[in-house]
Amino acid sequence: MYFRDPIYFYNAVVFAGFPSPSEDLFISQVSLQDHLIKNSYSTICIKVSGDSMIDIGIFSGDILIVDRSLKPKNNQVILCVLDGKFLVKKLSKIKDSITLISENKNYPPITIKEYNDFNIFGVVIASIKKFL
Amino acid sequence: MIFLVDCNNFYVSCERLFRPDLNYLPIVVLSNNDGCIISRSNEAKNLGIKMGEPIFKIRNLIKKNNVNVFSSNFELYGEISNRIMKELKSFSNSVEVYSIDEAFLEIESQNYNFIAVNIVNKIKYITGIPVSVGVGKTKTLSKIAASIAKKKHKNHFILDDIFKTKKILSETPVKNIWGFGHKYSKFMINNGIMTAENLINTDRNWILNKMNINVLRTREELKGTSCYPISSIFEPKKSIRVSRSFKKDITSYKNLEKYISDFAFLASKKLRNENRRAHQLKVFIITNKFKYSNKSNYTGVMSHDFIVSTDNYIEIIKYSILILNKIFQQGLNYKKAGVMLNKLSFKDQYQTSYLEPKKSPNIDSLMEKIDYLNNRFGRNKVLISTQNLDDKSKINRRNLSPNYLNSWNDMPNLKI
Repeated sequence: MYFRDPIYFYNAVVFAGFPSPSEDLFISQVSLQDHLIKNSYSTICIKVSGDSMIDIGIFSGDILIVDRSLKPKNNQVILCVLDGKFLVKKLSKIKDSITLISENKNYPPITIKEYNDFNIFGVVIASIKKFL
Repeated sequence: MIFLVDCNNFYVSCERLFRPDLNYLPIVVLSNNDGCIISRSNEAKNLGIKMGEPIFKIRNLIKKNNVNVFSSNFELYGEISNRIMKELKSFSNSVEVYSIDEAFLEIESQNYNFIAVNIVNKIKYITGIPVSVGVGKTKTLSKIAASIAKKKHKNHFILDDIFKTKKILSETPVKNIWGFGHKYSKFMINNGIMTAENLINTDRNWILNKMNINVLRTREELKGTSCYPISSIFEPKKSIRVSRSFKKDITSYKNLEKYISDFAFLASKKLRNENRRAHQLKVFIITNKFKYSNKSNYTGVMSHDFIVSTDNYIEIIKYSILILNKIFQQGLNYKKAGVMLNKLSFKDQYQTSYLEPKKSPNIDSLMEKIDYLNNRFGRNKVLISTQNLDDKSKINRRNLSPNYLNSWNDMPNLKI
């Protein structure tokens, strides 16, 4: 996504009569973009389906915000590519061994073997769920 | 030193970014209108598919080897290119974006090898696109270094050592030197100048007499004296052009009018995106040269100068049609047409004139609303009525990938 316009969710109130004494405080607005995205040039959005991550709150239809510039750490949710397939999993790294953990007890953990073609695409920094 | 950063098989790499299942498989990307091959994966190169080859010639080869074919998706490539260039700016203050997949950087350091490796790794990490780097004292030398890196299947090559440079230049044929066209290289070969090394040893007066100053500049660059400095200043476009070759020839005025309106709308949109206004409008139509003998070939061109520069969709389309009216000749097969906007100025610099026709105060806000609706709900949701509504007949993009990065509707949809 190329995030062009910041999205504002709060606007200064305009008074018709005497200027509001708090008007000066409204100079800076809060941008949804600043809140969700650190590096817009390394960020992508993906839409997901499937139930393997429901225990951490990622459901079908959610939009994940993925930042490629962050260094993935243990227990972070990552987007990765395993043998040509995208996966969203929790990263568990013990010494040199990498295991991908699902957040649904019906899905067993996947341990990366040497013959696997594996790379990490980015760190999932947020999930957007819309109710309407 | 000058670093040339060049993306490997750029369009193919972009197509692979969100299709990891296509890694290690042959892929090609086609030019506008699905005509020729303009990018190949290494696997496709190994099959013997040539750059620029028309697709219809190799249909069998493609079918037999299951080559994945993509139409060009320039929205996607442009966005990825922007991201790469942005990242390159973290390495140097002077970055010249040379093309969609190449940039020159000026970097001074003690360890060029370290920086080159760093650039390759970081661009791959942040954007997912593999690049190779050539380093030399000048742009021309960095270009040669980059081509050697590719030849040796390495991701970087540095021309710093004098003896190494001398050896490389004696092995570089003139046709591989940056900026030399077919004509000049042929002329040089006929005169015994076979390699870059030969060119350096050629007398400068002879070069000036027989060729031109640019060849002399290139000779200086090969010797290590910079003649083409990095120009990191963004030079605004001087004109905007939208033109197409048609799949089938167009004979009727009504059809051509639709296309011209479309082109005018697109050109105006580009103009408005850059916050600019145009002083001059040019429209051209060209007949199919394979259909007619040289004599009856017809090219119609005419321009119109606006009294006051404009960025108004309706005005630009209106005058485009008026021009078309004048240049259109009945009974010919038209193959190509286009609209150009020239003499551009920035919106805030525009001059009013007392000759200015009175304009409705609502017109600017109407234009803004058109932009808003098209940005919000997707391209071509609001059109001017003369435009071509049947979008699909315009160009062939049969194998177009989604616009992954720039549209909410085309976002990658992954089963996790």
